[in-house]
Amino acid sequence: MLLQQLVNGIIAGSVYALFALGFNLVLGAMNILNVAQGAVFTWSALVGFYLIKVYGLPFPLALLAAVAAGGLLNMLIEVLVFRPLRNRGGSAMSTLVASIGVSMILISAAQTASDAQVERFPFGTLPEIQWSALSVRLTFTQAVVLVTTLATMIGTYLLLHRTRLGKAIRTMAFNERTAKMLGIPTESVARWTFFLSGALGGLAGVLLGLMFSTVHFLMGEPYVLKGFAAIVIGGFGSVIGVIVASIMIGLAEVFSTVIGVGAFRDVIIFGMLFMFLLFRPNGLFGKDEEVRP
Amino acid sequence: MTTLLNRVARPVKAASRQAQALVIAGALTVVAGAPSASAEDIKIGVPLSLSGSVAFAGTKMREAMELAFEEVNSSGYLGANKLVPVWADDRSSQPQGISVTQQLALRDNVSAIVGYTASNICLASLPVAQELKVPTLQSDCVVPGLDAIGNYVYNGVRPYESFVLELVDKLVPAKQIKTAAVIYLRENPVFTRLAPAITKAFEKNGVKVVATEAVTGGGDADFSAQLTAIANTKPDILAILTLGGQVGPVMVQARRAGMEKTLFIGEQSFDSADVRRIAGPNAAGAYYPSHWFADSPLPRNQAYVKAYRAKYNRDPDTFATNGYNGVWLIAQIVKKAGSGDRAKILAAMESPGVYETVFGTEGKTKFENRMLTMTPFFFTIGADGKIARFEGK
Repeated sequence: MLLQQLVNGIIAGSVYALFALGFNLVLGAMNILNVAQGAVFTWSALVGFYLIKVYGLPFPLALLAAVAAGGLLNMLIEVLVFRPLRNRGGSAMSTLVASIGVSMILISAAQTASDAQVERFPFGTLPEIQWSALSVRLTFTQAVVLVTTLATMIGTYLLLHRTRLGKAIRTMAFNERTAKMLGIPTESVARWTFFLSGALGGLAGVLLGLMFSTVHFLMGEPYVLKGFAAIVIGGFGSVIGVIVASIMIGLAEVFSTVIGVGAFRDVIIFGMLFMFLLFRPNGLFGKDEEVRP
Repeated sequence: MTTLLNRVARPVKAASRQAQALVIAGALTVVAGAPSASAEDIKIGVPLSLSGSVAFAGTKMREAMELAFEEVNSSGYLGANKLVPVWADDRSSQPQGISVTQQLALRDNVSAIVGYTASNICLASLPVAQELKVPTLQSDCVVPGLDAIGNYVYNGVRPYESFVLELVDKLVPAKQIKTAAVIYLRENPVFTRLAPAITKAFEKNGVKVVATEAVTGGGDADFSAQLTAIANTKPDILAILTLGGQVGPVMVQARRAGMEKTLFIGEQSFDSADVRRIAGPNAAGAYYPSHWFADSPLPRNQAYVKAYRAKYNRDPDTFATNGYNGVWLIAQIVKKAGSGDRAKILAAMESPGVYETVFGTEGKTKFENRMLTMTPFFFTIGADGKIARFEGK
């Protein structure tokens, strides 16, 4: 059972990581805690679900479309909400409040679109195959989630460290004014940062909806707080840190059940968050000099 | 997307119908002069969870209640009087539930209240209705203790606890159950009370309860850790005590975790086409009690199911039916009262009487200790997703 729970924890943690990576990109580069990321996650899952159920699109195409929809929706939020606030010198608090408002609007719209009903991706969206070895069960869906998540994590790391866009995002994360002085088109970089963030959230939404057989308008809510916890524990702006912290959270949730304190799993996770805020505010992998002045 | 368009189109159509009705009513007033003294628009407060975590049930209740209000008014059941619903969304939140109850009683000055979706909101809001002396008929909350709130609060449904325990008594010998496990939603009073009650019922029948796990509500959909721990104990039966939106995913994840042959037992939340749709073949071997089922041959029920299908293009579930039944119950009470006066409505509620419902085998029922009497049916879900009566064999 322990091995199975280990696998459960890693899978849950890897979906948290996808969500938290997107969250972290915007927070690190733009200093915006975009709470609406949870609603973007929900909308992508709904888009994927409707494309498969109503239009019969094959899963890979629906996944790509849902990820693109997540990216575009987040980009739209940047253009319509955050950029005007930035241009008016809005504070971090004003952007946080705006993102809460956007989140509420999007969740209400998702409730209307889905009629508040719980849905699931149709049976057979992915083959119903299950492997068993060493008392561990792994479904084809879980394997797809693991491989996709791993590939996306590596892709995100390479994008941030090996491409011009990634370098521009990291420069903005260091200091937006410096980025401008270096000739980086900050508005365009901001747009792409939001697109990437939304795409990652969207990918997490579809994969989670598929894996846990549920798509509904509140599905993004728990991930906002867990994503935030992963960023704090992992370290602001650190891709590796967020991945490690997300897996830690997934494992902590699972093993709290194993040791019989599952009812307190949120207490454990947010207790960890509190301890990090108190004693290691830069997280596991965060560095002082990377914090925006 | 079709749903979205329907949702957008529905209020427009409704507004159009209301406008037509207003024009007709206006014209009649001009022709006939002042309305007769007996004609009265009786405002009925309808608090429901139309957004938030219980909206999956509240929105269905509203649909069926709209149908019932239309039927009551268009059939002339109350003569010249009309019931006018005043809808309120408690957002699946207790403070909001209290707030909308106060608004309905004090600002909207409703004659009576019918509705409420979630038990925790009933626990918070019904004492307020009692304090403000508004005759109230809650129509979906199944937590024990609501009958003791006071003389203004009546219950259109009753706690499922006794039904579930009765099912345990039938199921254990019939299926030779030796071990059981329980998974329950720890944020809902119905389930936090039902979990120990069903544990005791299993033990009373000689069944060993090998695991008990709690889950959280909201958007949480990952139950793999709890179900892996439960699967490790290989229970013959798993009690799933969660809200309807979580039941299907729990069933799917339980089968994936290795409980391929484990039976499922639950309560009202099992009784939904959505649960069967989400769980698919994984729901096979699920057992639950219900005070109503769509195929009940009662003519009143058949007419209701037909009208609901025609209006919404799908089958009603228990939540919808509880709402529908609540409106017709309040209509019968108002008819007895003969007006929208709160004191007269309370007197009508307190006077003994038999009420027509879509519940049970007879459809006729009455209030005992301010709670509707009901006879449960027991059902099982087959591998084909169809439900069948379970007679204890």
